[in-house]
Amino acid sequence: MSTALSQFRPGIFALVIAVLLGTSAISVVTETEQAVIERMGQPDRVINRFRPGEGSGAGLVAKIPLIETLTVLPRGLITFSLPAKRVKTGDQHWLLADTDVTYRIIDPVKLTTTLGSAAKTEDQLKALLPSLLDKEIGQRSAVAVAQPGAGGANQVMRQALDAEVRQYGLQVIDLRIARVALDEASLNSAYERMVQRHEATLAEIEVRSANDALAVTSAAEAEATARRKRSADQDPEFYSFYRAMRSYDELYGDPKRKNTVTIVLPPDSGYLEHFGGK
Amino acid sequence: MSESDGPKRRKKKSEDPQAEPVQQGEIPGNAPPVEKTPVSNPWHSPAEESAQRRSARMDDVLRQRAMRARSPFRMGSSGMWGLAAIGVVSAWLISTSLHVLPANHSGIVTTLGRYSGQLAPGMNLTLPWPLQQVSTRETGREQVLMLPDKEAETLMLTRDGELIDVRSLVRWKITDLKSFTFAVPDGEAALRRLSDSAIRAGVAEFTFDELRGGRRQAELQQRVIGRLQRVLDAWKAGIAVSGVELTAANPPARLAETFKKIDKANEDARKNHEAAVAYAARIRYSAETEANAFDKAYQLYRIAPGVTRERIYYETIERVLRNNQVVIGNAGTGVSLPPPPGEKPAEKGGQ
Repeated sequence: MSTALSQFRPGIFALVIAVLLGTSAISVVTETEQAVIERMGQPDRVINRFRPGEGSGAGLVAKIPLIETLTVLPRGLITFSLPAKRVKTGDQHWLLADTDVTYRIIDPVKLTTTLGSAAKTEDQLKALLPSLLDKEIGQRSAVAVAQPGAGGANQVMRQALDAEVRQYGLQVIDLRIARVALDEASLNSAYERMVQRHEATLAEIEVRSANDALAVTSAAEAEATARRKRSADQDPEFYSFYRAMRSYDELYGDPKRKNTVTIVLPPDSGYLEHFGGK
Repeated sequence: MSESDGPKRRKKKSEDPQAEPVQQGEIPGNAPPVEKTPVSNPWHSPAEESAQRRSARMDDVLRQRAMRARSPFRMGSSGMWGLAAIGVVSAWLISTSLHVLPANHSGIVTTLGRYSGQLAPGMNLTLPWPLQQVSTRETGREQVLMLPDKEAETLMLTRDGELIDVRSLVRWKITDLKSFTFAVPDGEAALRRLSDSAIRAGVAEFTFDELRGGRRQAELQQRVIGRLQRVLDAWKAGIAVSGVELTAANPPARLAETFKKIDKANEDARKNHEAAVAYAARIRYSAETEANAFDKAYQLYRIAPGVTRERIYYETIERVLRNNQVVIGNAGTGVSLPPPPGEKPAEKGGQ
């Protein structure tokens, strides 16, 4: 066995070399990657480049060992976040704005020839974004900045940034001021304003409540009066008689309040007209 | 990706030492090699081995390789080699080509990096690693995203420049696993970011009172769903958002005192209003009953004015006189009365 192995030694060596060359001649580019193949430093071809509506070019890739090199780049959307950038709004508030930029590498060759690798793109965005934010937010009120599209601010900035980074083979798909927070001073003044307004609301609620109760009861009283008038108008004289009778009854005719008054009935009163028996 | 080569590597490690020919006497059977692993390492006791499995193994492998290079004769029988090889190969085949997916899960199959199909729940066979790889994910069920992910005050700016503490949740589902996997790296994180900014943008379009009172929350939720879905579709994220809910919209904690007072005032106002309404109903009711009674009397009066009038008069006077003390006499007559029940003797009454 030992002799057999010794005999094979050159063969094994050759096999190892072949495997090494073979593996460097074949690479796998996955669905989420695209790759630039450079021949002696010159871009030669792009594997699995993103083109809308086109099928995938992922899979095995052949290249010439030692002569061609492969640079892998992301193929999907990439999001870069610039957190808590201090910016002054048009209405003199200081905001801390978080900005999300979503972009894609649409021209891998441009990217590798200008920046070299995907990692460098973030440095470019980090350098370009702040001045863009200062300019656009400086023209708008704090509330407008927080609103969607921020009165078009997101769109304007997206276009401006897109124009800047096209030279690196990037396309900005989406730029949004994802969140704004007020800085300490603006926050305090916002709290103060809120307290003032809501204290005023408190007083308003109380006044409104009183007025409301009054309106409800007086409306009902007007209705009740109108209803009585409708009845009385049929015969005011009889109504007056009837009402007086009801009143006597109510005050003096109630058996529950027996003997509360003493009634002096003059013999010549209407009630006793026939008492004498004339 | 890593799912399929992980187990494989682990297997390989445990097979390697076993390949060493210690137990020459053992019958080269077809028993699965995995079961024999613990007894077959010649350099370590089983206890030591299990205690320090990983690092020991790495060392072992290296040492064995070195030894193997120096003295290839100690390698042992080719039968053991064959057995070990079969074990390695079958472990590799089983662990990387057989995929059992639970219900509601789907799998993405890539062949040498390229998408080549999806797996459904149940048993699936693929080519072994590294030819094909599978990544699985739960897709059938609706998932819920909480914003913020941990309990914390989340202040957002409203249209009238006030601050409101908003908690929300997003219901979503993967509709296209292929897009979800490939178009946006970490789709769930992207969804979280987009949802957060869409909700903030929505909040900035309504006033504090509208949001706090919940008056226009439904409108806000609809807007957020619409916008979120448009972006997700444009990004081909493979996600459908079925619901966005503001679970809470509270004033900032710093203003809690003021809002407690406002809530109380509102509550009082509500009670006052109810009381006024009840009182108004009583007024109306009594006017109605009175007027109805009069109308009835008046109908009789019209039929027979004299009789009706006298009847009413006498009936009333009878009740009045029956229930009170009556003195018949002229004005100025001195009258002495018995005291009303339960009272001290009265002074002179009447006149």
